[in-house]
Amino acid sequence: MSVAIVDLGVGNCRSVANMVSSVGLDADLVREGCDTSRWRHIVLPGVGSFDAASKQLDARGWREPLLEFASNGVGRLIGICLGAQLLGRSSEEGVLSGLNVLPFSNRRFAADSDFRVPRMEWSQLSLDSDAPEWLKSASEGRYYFSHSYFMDAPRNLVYARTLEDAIPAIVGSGQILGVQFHPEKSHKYGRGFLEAVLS
Amino acid sequence: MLQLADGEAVKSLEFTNRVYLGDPINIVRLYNEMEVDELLVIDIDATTTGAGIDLDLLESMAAEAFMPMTYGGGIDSLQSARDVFDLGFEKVAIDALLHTSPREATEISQTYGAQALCAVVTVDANRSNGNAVGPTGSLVPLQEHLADCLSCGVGEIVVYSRDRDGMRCGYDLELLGRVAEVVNVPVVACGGAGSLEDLVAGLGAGASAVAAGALFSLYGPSDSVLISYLEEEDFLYLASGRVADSRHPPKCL
Repeated sequence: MSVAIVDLGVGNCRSVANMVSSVGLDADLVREGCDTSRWRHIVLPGVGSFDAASKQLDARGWREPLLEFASNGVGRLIGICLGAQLLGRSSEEGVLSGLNVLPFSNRRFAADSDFRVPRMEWSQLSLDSDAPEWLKSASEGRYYFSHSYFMDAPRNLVYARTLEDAIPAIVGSGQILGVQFHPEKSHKYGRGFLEAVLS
Repeated sequence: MLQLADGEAVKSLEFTNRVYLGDPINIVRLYNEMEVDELLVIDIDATTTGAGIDLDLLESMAAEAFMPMTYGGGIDSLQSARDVFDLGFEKVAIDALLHTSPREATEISQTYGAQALCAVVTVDANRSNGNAVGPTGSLVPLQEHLADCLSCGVGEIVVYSRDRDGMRCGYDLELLGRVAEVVNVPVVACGGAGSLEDLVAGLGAGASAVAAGALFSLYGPSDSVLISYLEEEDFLYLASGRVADSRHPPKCL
């Protein structure tokens, strides 16, 4: 079964591909948007600035294929870090639009937050009571976070938050999932998570 | 912290002597197995010798790691940073670039985000009189340099006590406290860690994370090579010894 890893040229899809391969799946790094029917799931990683990534969604022709894949609802569309934030409408970080497949926007952490920003932490998660069953056992570890903006999602979209700060860590609806942390940088915990999400 | 010189993993002592550690790819594999929080890879010759960044080596190292990796050494432009990010590194660490070309540094932050750009601020208690050391040994008042780093959009400051490099005598806690007070981004202690107690003290002084090289690579009176990391109970000890809160993890850097 193969998984497409969207390559927007904004860092780090290589590590995601490595981890997806390590769980026994075929990971294809795909630069240009195209017919997505050959892949079971699509992973949208991202590091960096919202506008830089949004520009690349258009420049590389990924916006339409991703919107279509998301609306088909057959396979999972998984956004990681900035990729998760791109599933929303917009971000305080920039002026361009996200994919808007989930109804939320991204906001900057307040200057008087309990932690220093960028928030770079290994965190455990606290799952929402109506998080899907399969997600519960896959989210028992600790995961690496590194961000200055967060998914300001309504409660009904949030599946999990960080244990200590209640920051939205996993949001989703149907087959669309956004994870703020980096499973590809979270050792066996991240691997277990990806394995459950992509099965 | 894992230092590279001419394609090999080394540990510098007082930044002059070097102990050969071994094959860097193998060492990354070991640290990965030990589930280290983060690896800071610094090529200590890349900037001074102009040798450039060994992308092939970094690619092999990144392929072994399922943890965050930072690279420093010879990053002199957005393109060189991009080359490193494309290999799978989370952050780039810069030092000289902040002194010589802050505009390039700002571009890296604007493109990849503040969390991807780390400033190594070098201080030498014996020689720099509390100032930050620039390339070619120039000195800049510390507060001024820290302000410049933040203006460039740096998201993390590694305070590197060069005089304590490899010495395992403890961090410069007073310096750490001063920097943590002045900046609002995470501060990483680096240079001098010799024991678990040193790591606790670093976190207590205001560091968000603590880095160690010799502590995790050398052992015993003859400085034998031993790649190691913290055990589960060490993390509990670190958490309990914290003055502030217990959330922030130590980093194997």
